[in-house]
Amino acid sequence: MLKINGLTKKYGEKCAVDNLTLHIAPGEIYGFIGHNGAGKTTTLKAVTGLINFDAGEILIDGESITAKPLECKQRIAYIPDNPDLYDFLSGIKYLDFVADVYGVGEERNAKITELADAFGLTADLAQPISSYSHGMKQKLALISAYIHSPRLIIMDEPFVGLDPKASHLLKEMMRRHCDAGGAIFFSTHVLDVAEKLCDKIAIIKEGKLVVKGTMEEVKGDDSLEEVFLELEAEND
Amino acid sequence: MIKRLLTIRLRGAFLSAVGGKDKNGNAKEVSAAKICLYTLLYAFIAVVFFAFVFIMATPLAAVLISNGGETLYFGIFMLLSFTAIFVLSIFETKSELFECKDNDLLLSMPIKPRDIVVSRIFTVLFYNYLTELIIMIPVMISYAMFSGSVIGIFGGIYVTLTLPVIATSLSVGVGYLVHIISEKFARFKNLLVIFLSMGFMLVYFVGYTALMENLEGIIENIDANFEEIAEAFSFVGVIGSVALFKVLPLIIYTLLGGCIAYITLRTVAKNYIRIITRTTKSKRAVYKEKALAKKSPLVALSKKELGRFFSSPTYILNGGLGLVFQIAAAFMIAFGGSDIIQIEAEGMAEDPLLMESLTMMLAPIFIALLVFCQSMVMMSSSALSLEGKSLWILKSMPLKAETVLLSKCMPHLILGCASSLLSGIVVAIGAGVTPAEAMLCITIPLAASVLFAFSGIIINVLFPKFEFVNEAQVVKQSLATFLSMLFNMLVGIMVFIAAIVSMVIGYASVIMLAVLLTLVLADGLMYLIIKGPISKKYSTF
Repeated sequence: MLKINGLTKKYGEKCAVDNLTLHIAPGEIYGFIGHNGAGKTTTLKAVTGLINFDAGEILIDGESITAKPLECKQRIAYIPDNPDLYDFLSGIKYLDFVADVYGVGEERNAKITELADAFGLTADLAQPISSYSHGMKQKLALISAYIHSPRLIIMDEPFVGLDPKASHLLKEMMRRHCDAGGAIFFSTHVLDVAEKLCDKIAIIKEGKLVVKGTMEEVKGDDSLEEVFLELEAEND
Repeated sequence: MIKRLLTIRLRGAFLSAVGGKDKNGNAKEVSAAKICLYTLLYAFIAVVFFAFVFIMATPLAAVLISNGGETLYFGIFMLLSFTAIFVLSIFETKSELFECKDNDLLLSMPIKPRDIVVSRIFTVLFYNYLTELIIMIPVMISYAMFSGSVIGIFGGIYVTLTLPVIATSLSVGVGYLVHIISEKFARFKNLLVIFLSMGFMLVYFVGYTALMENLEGIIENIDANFEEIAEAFSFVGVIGSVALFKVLPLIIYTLLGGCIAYITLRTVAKNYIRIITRTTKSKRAVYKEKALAKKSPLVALSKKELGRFFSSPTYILNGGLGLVFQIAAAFMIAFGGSDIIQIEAEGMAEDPLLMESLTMMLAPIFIALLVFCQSMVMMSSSALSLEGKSLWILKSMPLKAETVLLSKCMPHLILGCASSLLSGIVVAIGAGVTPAEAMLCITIPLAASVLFAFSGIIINVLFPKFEFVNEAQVVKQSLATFLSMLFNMLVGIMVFIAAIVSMVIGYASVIMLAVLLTLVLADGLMYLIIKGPISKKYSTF
């Protein structure tokens, strides 16, 4: 579903992502791990078409994000690490706006009700987003991501700011999405969650891929935390 | 700490002013040539304003100083600059002091609230000094031309240095009150801020108009009735005597000014944390589920843009005030047009040919006036920058760049065209113009609205500013807004020139038709630029 081949992104002299190759198949939850500044967000932004890159290609369902950005973006949803939404809109107006842009029909009503109820946000939908807490904004961003039934969901630190109930619900939704044939590519620092949730994992350091594979291939009998810290130390 | 905070703010302002920041607000290297180019541009604007004040000040200096009315001369311009600074900076101080996004960050650091307050007031004061210099330098030059008094020169310098401090302190105090009132009535906050702003501006314009009328009277009757005039304006004279170092007024002025500055600073600094961390109780909106209908992306985006515009008093006041001016001007023309004809008839009756030309010229002048008012509408020039940190939403959506940019123009197009249409119809019906002129009264302002909307977004894409601590920095102080204002003014002036040319050589309808065609062609060209290179540029953000 998602093929990243030889992705390279430079900021001036600094190579933020260096020749990264990753393939994500339908049904997979793919975790992306690395220390701060390793190149995770840059990779996710490149996949989403938010930034241009210097070399390589990104294919979503076989279509290139650079050649056919609109077709690719229609198939994906992106949730950034810090969801800066439109503060002047109410929650429901924001969701209606997102549904319009993605061409979601009348089914939007049922979807919004279902998702807002699940995240406990229904009562706040008429409130302006400016009055939302960080967690509420995160929940709204998650609902908006699911509204057009994307094939691929890209998430940058999706669990930050969520309460335990919402975190649990999100994990269930991620699993259900992939069981239904979708795929998820997300970055996280919460290694316990990654270990339990991900089918495959990739660890990146200073823009370079250090290791990738199924959870078993990467961690073996150790915990993911031990492997991650070991790899970090090895490459220092 | 104050010095450090102030340096950061002024450096940020300088870099923004000379294009030394990238689209994310990060400092980037800026060449000497670029700094020179921007300096020349600002110098040009300053010279235009200098010239305007100089033209106003020189005849006054000539008549007042020769009649011994130096205090009246200084008094008039001290009042003028004081009011300009006070009115223009009330809402600036409100957003700079109480609505900055970095308040939380700064308060979490070991910085005294007083230092934060002082650094922010100094930033406003810096801009106010620029306003003061633009007014007082030509005033002082005019003064020096007609009087060699060294005391007056030093007095003028003293006033130039101290008056902005007093005006800024007062505007901070009023800005503080406006903030408290608007927070107390949070539900009607936007409406309240708009009404208060309009009220202040109305008072300023009424005061300014009255002053100008009085000035004309002073100049005309100065020789005959100087004593009477001096007596009638004795209060203004007392104010002006500060600039001539008259002991008692000087002491009162200095002490009063000092007290105002001290009390304001102390009050705001003491209550700063409480003011900006206050949570207001507003009635909670209840969500009622109702069916949502599908709309096209362009309609959805345009609705969102209109929502942004109407949610921000700063945006409405700085971007949309021209709409009010245009409609007001149209009604004034419609109901006062016959007066203008009457005035001309009185003045020019002895020259029937000139009289005929002037009557024929009325429609072009009306059109030029409507276009000039429309040129003050600057909504699209900050529409993209206002996306700020939420730009990721649009960039991650399956939207054509062209659709996004057109939606950014929509509030400007919808409201600007509605205002132009209404104004054109009012003038066409009320001013008694011919059917052909009526069509031009409607279509030329309409074409100009489209041009201003399109050019605004083009300039904004070329000079975006996505990092800001309050909306005023984008809507009011950004380079895109500044350049857009300049462009719009040039178009407005060109239409005025065309109207004047039509008076000199005749063929008013033909010339104004040519203006219409030029504007329509420019609209088409701007649209193609948006579709082509500007959409491409947007894709790189």
